[in-house]
Amino acid sequence: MFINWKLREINLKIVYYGPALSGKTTNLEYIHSKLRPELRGELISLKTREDRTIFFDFLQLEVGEIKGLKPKFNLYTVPGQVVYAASRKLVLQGADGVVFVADSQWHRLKDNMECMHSLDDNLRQLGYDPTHVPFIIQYNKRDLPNKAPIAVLEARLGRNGVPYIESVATRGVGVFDTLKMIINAVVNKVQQEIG
Amino acid sequence: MTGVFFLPTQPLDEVEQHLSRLYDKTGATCVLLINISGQLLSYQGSAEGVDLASLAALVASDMAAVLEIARLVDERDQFKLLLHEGENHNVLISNVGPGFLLAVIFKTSVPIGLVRLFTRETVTQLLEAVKGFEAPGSRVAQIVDAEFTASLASELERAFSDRT
Repeated sequence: MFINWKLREINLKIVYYGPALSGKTTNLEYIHSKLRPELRGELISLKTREDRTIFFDFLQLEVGEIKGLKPKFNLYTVPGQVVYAASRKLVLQGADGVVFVADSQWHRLKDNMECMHSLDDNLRQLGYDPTHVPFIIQYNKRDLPNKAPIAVLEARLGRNGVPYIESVATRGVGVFDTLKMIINAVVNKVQQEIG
Repeated sequence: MTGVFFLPTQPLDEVEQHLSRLYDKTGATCVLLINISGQLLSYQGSAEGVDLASLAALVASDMAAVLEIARLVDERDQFKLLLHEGENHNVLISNVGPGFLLAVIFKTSVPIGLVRLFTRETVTQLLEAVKGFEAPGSRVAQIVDAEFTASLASELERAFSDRT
């Protein structure tokens, strides 16, 4: 969290992390498409020719002033494909909170778990304790017929006390709720740390 | 995680003066100070029509990728400067210590050597100025209090309502 007293801004960095094709970019695209233009910037996507994220997507949004300060939220995604693993750590640098976007389908369970391990590794390498990071799990693609039950996903991916949310990002279900949850988690964490 | 950084007005005024001098001396289009997580702290110059938040995020990622390349090829001293040469504009990005980046966007008619020279001088000045940044203290506790949390929740509600 960066508080810029001169510009009267509070900046938060939120990173959407998860395996390939789990819906990270779709979350940002939905937010971008639904928010009023005056509340958001451009959606920047660094993609391959095959339309896959190679480095990150970026979207800044803001809400109305609070106590004379304008909150600004910088949302990033990481590339899900394993071949771009090196880029993920770079995007995580300086993150205030992480949303893990899991693919709920049975056959993606292993990919989700491997990706969760890579997240923990990357956080440790950056000097963070993964258990102390404001964190939300979004179980996406809940509309698909081959989805695993939440109990199974929680048993494999869940962490003690880490909130989760079910979503269908292509239709926007759960997308804004996820964002609200992670922002609140970050603010609560900051209060704990400085209180 | 959740490092909290409070940027008081006084060091930011100093930063602004240094950026302003660099802007004047080089005739740059725009100069920006960014932190390594991609947040814009201060800028000088013409920014009309430019999405500065996106620019800051891209500059920080650009440098992050180059530092990772340095690590992979065992360049122990790391790369401190990045130059992109274009048809109409050049972009010079320089480290300001481990936590900040200075980006100078300038027309190709401006000599690169001149920009490098004054950028180096400005980096030294900025290193002093940014020392005043990392002191959150009690002022942050006064800002991010229960009232802030409640107001933020209702602002988020207002911004996101009827959007799903």
